[in-house]
Amino acid sequence: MSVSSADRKRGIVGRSVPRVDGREKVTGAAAYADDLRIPGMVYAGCLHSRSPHATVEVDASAALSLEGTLAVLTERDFPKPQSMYDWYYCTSHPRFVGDVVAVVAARNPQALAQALSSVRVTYHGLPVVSTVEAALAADAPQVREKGVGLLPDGTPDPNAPGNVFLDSYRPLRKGDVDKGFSRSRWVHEGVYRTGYVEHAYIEPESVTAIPMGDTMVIRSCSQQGHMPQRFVADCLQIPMARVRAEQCVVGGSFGGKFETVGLMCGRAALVAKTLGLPCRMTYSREDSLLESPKRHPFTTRIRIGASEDGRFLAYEATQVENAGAYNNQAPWMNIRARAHSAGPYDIPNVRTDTYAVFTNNPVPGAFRGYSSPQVIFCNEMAVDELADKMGVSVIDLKRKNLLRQGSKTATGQTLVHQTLLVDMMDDIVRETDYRKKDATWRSQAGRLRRGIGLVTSYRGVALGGEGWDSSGAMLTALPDGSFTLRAALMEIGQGLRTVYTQICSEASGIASQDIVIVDVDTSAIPDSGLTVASRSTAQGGQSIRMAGEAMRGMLLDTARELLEVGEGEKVELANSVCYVANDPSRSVTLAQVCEARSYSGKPMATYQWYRPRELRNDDSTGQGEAFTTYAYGCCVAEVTVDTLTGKVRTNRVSSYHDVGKAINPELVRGQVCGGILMGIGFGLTEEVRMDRGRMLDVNLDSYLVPTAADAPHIDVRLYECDDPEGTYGAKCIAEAATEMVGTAVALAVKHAIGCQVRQLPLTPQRILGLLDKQERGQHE
Amino acid sequence: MIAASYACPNTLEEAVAALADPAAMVIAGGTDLMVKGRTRNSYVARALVDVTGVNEMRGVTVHDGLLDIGAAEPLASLVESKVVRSLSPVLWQAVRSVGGVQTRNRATLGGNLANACPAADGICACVALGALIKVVGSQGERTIDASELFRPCPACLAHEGMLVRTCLFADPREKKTTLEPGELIARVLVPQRAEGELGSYVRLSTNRGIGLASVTASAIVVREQDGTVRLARACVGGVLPAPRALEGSELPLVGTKLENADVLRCSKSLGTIMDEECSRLANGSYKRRVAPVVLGDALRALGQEGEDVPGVPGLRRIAVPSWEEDR
Repeated sequence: MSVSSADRKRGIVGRSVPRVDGREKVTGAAAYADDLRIPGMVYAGCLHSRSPHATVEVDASAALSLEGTLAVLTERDFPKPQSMYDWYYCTSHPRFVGDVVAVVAARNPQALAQALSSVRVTYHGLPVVSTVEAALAADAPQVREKGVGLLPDGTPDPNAPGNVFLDSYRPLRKGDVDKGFSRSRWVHEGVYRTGYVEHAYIEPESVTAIPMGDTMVIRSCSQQGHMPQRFVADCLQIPMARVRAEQCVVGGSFGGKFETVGLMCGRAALVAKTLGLPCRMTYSREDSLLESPKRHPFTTRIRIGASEDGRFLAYEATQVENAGAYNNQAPWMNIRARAHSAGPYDIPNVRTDTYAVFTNNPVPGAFRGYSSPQVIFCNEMAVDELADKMGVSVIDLKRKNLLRQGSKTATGQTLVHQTLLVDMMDDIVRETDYRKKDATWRSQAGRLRRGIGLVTSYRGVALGGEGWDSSGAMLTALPDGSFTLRAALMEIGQGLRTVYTQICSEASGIASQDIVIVDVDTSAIPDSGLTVASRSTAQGGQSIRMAGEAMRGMLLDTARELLEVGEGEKVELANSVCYVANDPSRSVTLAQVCEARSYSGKPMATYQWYRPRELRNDDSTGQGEAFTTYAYGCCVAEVTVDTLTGKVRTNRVSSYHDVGKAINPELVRGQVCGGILMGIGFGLTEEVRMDRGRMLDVNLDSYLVPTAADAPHIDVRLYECDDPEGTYGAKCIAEAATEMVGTAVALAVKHAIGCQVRQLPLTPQRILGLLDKQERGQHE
Repeated sequence: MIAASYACPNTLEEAVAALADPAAMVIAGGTDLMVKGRTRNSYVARALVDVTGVNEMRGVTVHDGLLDIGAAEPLASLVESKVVRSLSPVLWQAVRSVGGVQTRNRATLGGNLANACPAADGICACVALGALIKVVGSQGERTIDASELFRPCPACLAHEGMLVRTCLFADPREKKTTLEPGELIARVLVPQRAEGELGSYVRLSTNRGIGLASVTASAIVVREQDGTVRLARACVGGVLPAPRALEGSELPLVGTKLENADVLRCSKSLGTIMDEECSRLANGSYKRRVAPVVLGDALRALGQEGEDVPGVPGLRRIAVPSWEEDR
């Protein structure tokens, strides 16, 4: 084997290599959790509450009398009915319609369906709290004992009962807001709302629990490779070391397959333990929509003040989320929601309060963006309305206030790295012909009206102050010169296996086809935290890089011996071949190197752990270094609104992203295109409608997700910059790709019809409502 | 989905014989039935008779000025049929709008009619076109107007089936159609497009997904040399308790020149009908408002504001330049 000079020079990072798991996915060979078949396996299902708040009595006698029924478990059968993540495995006091009141096991899926419909549940209804307003009303029933009240200044009162989730409260205090407003010539105030949004991944949840001796083995579709281990140990009250979780191919997640899947693992494990048989639990789409987490609905009151010449002087906001009946995420999510609460603007005086309130509604959780789609909507709408009030172009207003290198963010952090936002906005304004379209479409009268909207955003990269961005990776050499790479962060469709292969190959010199990424397995690799926050490439990739570099050193040591090089001679490793730098004809393959290491008793594996620098933050003021660095984005959407039917067509979306470094540009583009479709859904059609705690949309026939037919013309532009924080300079894209789009579409609709937009999604009915209001206003 | 039994007859005679069982029920592509059977376990006691293999219910022929379509012919083959496209462009456009590719590969025109969802694309077109339905049972065969196939179904109005979801009834034949027990739809006979006849098919849905439309409208007109309307018929789907043809006083177009004011009069007439018959309509205030617009669009497509759909003679659509400009 020889090495061409091109191979030596060409790095694999930055190249759009095909997905390593692409073939198995498009041919249908990929094995998802529900594809697994185990002899003797039983089938289990969950009976969800029909009432959003009640105490229940479960009568299982009829179900148990059926021949195929094996078990009906209720709260008292669970060693610990409430999970360590607040939600219940099983409860006799359901607090929302997704609560599970019984777990049923049967010999086959048909018997399971029959058994589930034969369990009799008697409900004793209790008062239902379903909206943020109702939860904060003075006489509101308390949904959770841990809920607290509010003080007159709008901050939580730990000593008074209420529905505020105290742990989720995140204040931000910068400068003197009162002084800022007193100096402001222009002040705008408004209340903005977003709704419940479903992840709608293609694969509904599925888990299998397999008792093997003293160990419970779990194979599931969990987004988090290690979380099933925690849930099962918690549910069965056994040591985590007695639980082994293995990854399956995950059919989409977007943040959603964490708590529900973990709870299902616990329930299935209890069935498996009780019966001594493997247990499969797969959800229908209806089950999935009922129980799985959603995007947090926000109700945000914003007050923003600007000087005569348009400098933002003060910003005040109260961001209140509907937390549902349980909540594991708002305390962490609100660290991000707080940091970004004043948008990508340089504002000297900021005061924001962010907290969630308990209701008898579905439980929101992590969802692509983790508060940013909602925060951006409220924030950008307020800025747009301020520009309207001032009679200036929002572009000019933004230009005066956008963050630049050296600016101080709302958390008081100085932006020390390259900050491309203003340049990106100038580019997108020029490329989309924004100013001309803005002027031309401002006063249309016909039935079909066009509109254009622009969003600017900055996004804290990875976890930042939300937690530790540490990760580990293990690279193992095999005697034939192939390698296995183990990580604990998960491929969930985002392309992580491909990117990790590239990073490992770049760092080590091992050809990418010689690296096989092995499924996450808790018995083989320590936890690296959650696959969340668009962190897996930028931060998770660091330990992959370190493992690659360490292995490279090990391989080169042995190669030097095999090549018998002199002191001054340098040996290189590229494309799985070690060669003498100034005489490439002297070379050994990695198969020879690995074989030699194997027979000479040298280590064949390396495990590397990456721990980023510590970020210091003051939780009482939200001041500090919220994130190591930020990714910047601009998005322009162009729409046509049919003012007679309220229907919106998204014609074009331009999405510009500073990704630091695109490890695989085509995968980045894929993320952006998917993110745009998801963002259009958030802006226009997607809302799980609720009626006093009952869910009206439990399948995708009425919950409308955009399809390929709804795709607009898409322009993607990627920016790279010198940023030292992430792996090879990478920042993030997964969440950045979707967070701006819904708001850009909403701004375009606002522009087209000339109405204030205070609520998402902009369904046809809502748009006709806005037009009616406008007409009434004109007649008054 | 579980059923008591499943038969797969090859001839109409065998199918009719199988349907003599009181528990029997016809299944064709299954795109509605299997959805209902999945969650509600509606068919455990039913004997399913799959008619997709019945020869007499397949194929498309032309005779006596009629397009004679096998009720069990998959919609995909109708979409691909040049005969269907040239002889009944409105039907072609309607069946092209049903679901997505996978659905059309299985779904049949007979099934689309027999499921009797008031928002079904095929029903709207067949009623507007004055199609005839050939019904076969143990008593022999009979031919009825498409609009005579349906019984008013107030429950459909209140149900979101009128908005996005498929119908709730496990056996729509019983509640929603005039088919007798043991009868099935064997063929659909669509009058061939007349000389000078123009038609349109419009559907309003929230997005461009593969889901059910919210409101559908189909219209045909034949005009004199001077532009005076000689014949006009329309159907609006998704709003009325039973699909029916709008003509005569309910569609006051004959004798007019199909100008804007004439279209507005028709839209207004639909509004009056809805006020009388649709008090329980789900999402009613929205539909009350947009259904006349959708009907208006279907009619305007036939007049000056319309344009020919390229490659499909006789099919018209509204000329909307800016809507699609950026595509």
